[in-house]
Amino acid sequence: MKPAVTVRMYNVGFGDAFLVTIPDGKKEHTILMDCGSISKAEGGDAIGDIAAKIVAAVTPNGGQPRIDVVIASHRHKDHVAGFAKAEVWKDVLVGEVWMPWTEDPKDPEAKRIRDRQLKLADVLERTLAARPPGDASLSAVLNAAGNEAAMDTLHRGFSGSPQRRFIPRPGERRIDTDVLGKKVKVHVLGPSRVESVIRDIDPPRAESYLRLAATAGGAPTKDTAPFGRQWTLEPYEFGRPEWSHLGLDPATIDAVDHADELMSPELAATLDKAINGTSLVLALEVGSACLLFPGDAQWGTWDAILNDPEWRELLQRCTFLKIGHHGSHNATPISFVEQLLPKDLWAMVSTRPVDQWPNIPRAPLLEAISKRTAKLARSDKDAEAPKPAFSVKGDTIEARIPIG
Amino acid sequence: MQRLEGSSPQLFVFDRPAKRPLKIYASDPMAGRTVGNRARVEVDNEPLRPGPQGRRIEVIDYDGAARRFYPPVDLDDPNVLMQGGLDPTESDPRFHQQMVYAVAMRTLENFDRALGRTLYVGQKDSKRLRLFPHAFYGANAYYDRKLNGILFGYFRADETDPGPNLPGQTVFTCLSHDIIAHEMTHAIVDRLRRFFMEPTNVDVFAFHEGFADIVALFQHFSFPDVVRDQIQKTRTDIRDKSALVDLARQFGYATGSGSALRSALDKPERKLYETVVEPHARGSILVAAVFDAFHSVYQRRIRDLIRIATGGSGQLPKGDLHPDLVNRVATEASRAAQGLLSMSIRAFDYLPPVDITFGDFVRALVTADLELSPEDEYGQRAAMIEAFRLRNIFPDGVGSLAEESLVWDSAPRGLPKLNMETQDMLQELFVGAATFSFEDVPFENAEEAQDRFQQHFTGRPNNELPSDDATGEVDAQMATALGAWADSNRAALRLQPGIPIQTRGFHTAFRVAPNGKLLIELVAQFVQTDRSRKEDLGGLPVRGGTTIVASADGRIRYVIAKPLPAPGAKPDQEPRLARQLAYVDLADSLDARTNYYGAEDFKNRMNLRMRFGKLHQGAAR
Repeated sequence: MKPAVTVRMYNVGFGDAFLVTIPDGKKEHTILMDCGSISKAEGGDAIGDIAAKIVAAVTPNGGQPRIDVVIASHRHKDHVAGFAKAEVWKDVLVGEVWMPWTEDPKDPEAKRIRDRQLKLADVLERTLAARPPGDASLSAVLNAAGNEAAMDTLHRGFSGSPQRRFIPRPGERRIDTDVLGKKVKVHVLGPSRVESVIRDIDPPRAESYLRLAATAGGAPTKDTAPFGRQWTLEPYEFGRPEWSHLGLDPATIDAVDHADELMSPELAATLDKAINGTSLVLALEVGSACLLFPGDAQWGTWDAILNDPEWRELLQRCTFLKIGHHGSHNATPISFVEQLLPKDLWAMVSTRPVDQWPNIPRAPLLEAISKRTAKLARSDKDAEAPKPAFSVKGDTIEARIPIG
Repeated sequence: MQRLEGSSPQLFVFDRPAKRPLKIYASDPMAGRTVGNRARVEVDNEPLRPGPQGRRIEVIDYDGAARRFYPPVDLDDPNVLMQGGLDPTESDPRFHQQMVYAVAMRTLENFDRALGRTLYVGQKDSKRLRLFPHAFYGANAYYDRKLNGILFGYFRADETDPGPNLPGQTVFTCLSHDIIAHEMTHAIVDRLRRFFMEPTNVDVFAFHEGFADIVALFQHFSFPDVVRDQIQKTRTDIRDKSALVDLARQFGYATGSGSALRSALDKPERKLYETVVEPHARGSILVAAVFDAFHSVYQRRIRDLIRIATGGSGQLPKGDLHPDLVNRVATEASRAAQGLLSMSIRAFDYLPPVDITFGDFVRALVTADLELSPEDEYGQRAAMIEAFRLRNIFPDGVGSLAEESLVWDSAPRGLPKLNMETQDMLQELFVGAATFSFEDVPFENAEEAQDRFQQHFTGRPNNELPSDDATGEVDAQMATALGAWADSNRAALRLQPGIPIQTRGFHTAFRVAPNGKLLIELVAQFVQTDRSRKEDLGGLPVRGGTTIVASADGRIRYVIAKPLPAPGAKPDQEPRLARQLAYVDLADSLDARTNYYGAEDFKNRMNLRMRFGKLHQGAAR
């Protein structure tokens, strides 16, 4: 068999878990690109079990499980939840762990952005708690909250004291590392450090928008009262004859009462976009194989990439694409698909339909991609994965991307 | 002073003064606590009830977060009148009510004067525009069409990271002149051009934001004492543009993309207009262009002053400037600002009814300015054209940026005058508009006066219901007559055959011509709508329309057309349609919520996206 990179997509449901194997002479390098889910596949395994399966898969006969690089593209449950149980991973020998620069504990700007994101997630979770479980905004917020255990594993877990890299450093476009051997080039196309993209990553302050944030520990809103008691009138006190010309009908009063709630879905979406914006966008080049993993990066990051001539040229050499953000509209610009996406490449999307987000995956996008290449596989439709381009093994779909 | 007829000789009444002085904060109190941060605004003196409630707007201090009211201020109380309005204070809600009223009315009156008519900002169900100074908790303020109101938020600055505010301090968006004027402008523009809230191309939303910023900024510059105070403090050469930009900053100029506005103001960049698509940032490009023209005019205006002050050497002395010089310079700056503000507002009458682009606005500005001051004494028009050229803002279908090319096309030859039915009613309309006054109507009959005013002088109410039952005689007849005239002149007006024409609003405008004559004009809009398109337009229809400007004798002076794309035509044959479709795609990419809309909302997403909000500068970042 000709030398090839294998990409194995696990069927985690709504989430990502990709195991990449790169041959290097007699050796093999393994990369785990994300491991998370917010909704398991129909009839499939929970993410905890899939994590265990992955560990088993990287365990040589009777030896210690080994992964050369563990990558967490960004801090969303559907990409990191699988790392939550530290004991699953504690014996896995890991060479390096790669995370976006916004995860760097030593970078003050990263810390500021992270704190804002977390605070907003926390407050939104409480604000939206009253909403029904299938609510689109609440679901988006839950993706952002409660990932501490997983992040802890990524920052401090695994065996072998792996080096943690927070990429890219300013100006860095390639990662200089030997952990994958000498033949692999790693390009870092995102997350950008460009001002306009950072604005997308840096969400508004929670305090400015949400009453709960302003009152420590979610105390009642009395603390946010703008004027002293002497100025405040109960509605019946306002009904004096000399003020009767100022009437408000109940509908208007109700609308004003709920005025601040209009902002919550907006803020939830902004937070989601902010965290997606921190996604690592990586291109792995080995021989003629060029694999693009854009995480969940959205328009702002893509815009910066598409405006860079060197990266445009790189994109045109891709032979594999992991379709971003589970096939959503914003994560794969249509201009990229129609003008730059090389024909006939391997494309995989790890997704499943979820009720609260009917637009993911986006059918017109997948159609447009399938017009460029017949080699498109969806994790929730493994029976339809074209063969022999893909091979289905259990609940995984595998592609072999030739290197020669 | 008058003697009342037939009453006791002891009863003498004083004439009502024309103006009511009111105090406001000169700059956003949170953007810098300067001593003496106050300005005096003069608004037309109308009878007021507690609120304050006037003829056209009312302030209702209901707090939706606390579910409480705050006591309404009576600005006609002698104690308040004696001081020329309450002193600025953050802790008394009644001052907040006063400030919101003062700035909102000042903005409305700027529009009245520039447009030569009294604008009506009520709706069928709510006769007045409502302002809620403390509506909700949040670092935001927005105009809401459904409520016919402007809601202002308030919030607490963060304890640990308060930005320019004090930790834990309550910050009120209603105390920022610029936020009030900005939101008020959204409300007024929505009255003048209802369809400008349908985002059919990348400029529409940006225009709303940019125009609102222009009004807020230049209205702020039009207060001479505010400008004077700030010029005193400035250390840079007052001729430098940076001095003016600095003033804008000192005013606490709050915008959704503060840094975008600042960098747009600092230097023009050709590529911005091609690349920047976010509405606030894109709107800043418009503001920056007009600001350039402002700077040009300002420089010319102060040229002779500098010559006098420096004895011809042009070297200003180091240290403080002479107070007389500062006074005069401030006056010139405020005049330049007022001139630009008026021209920008006046341009509205020369805008098409739908699908606005920055290029349309350039043409409208040039046309409006040409009408008002053909000699262009301070080179305002030339500066404006140059500023837009520098930013690559070119109108559609215009050969060059020469003035003659930019002015809107005159009516085509052969377009007949307005039909006789219209002309007969015109006389009545003009006389009525000229003589109607709210002042003579006692408050008790205010509702009736509102109705009468609305029916006669503002054309159809802009929130017309499908089964519109016209309640005014002039309104319905005029609309019908105009509609009939438009119908028989479709080709010349570039209206599509076979599709019904809606007559949307007709106004009289009174202007003084350059030669001193009184010009009376009628401005009318005709709109056509095509809902038959199968393409995914995110809930918006395709529209076309024409604005006409006619003089009192029925002769059409300008025809400003955006023809409806032929129904059934392919996008590649109809550039406007192609542009609208492309914008749906772009909006989908920019909107964080695209992925999360439910099925119904997704079909209607373009309508959901056009939402106004004014983020308070200090807090959000």
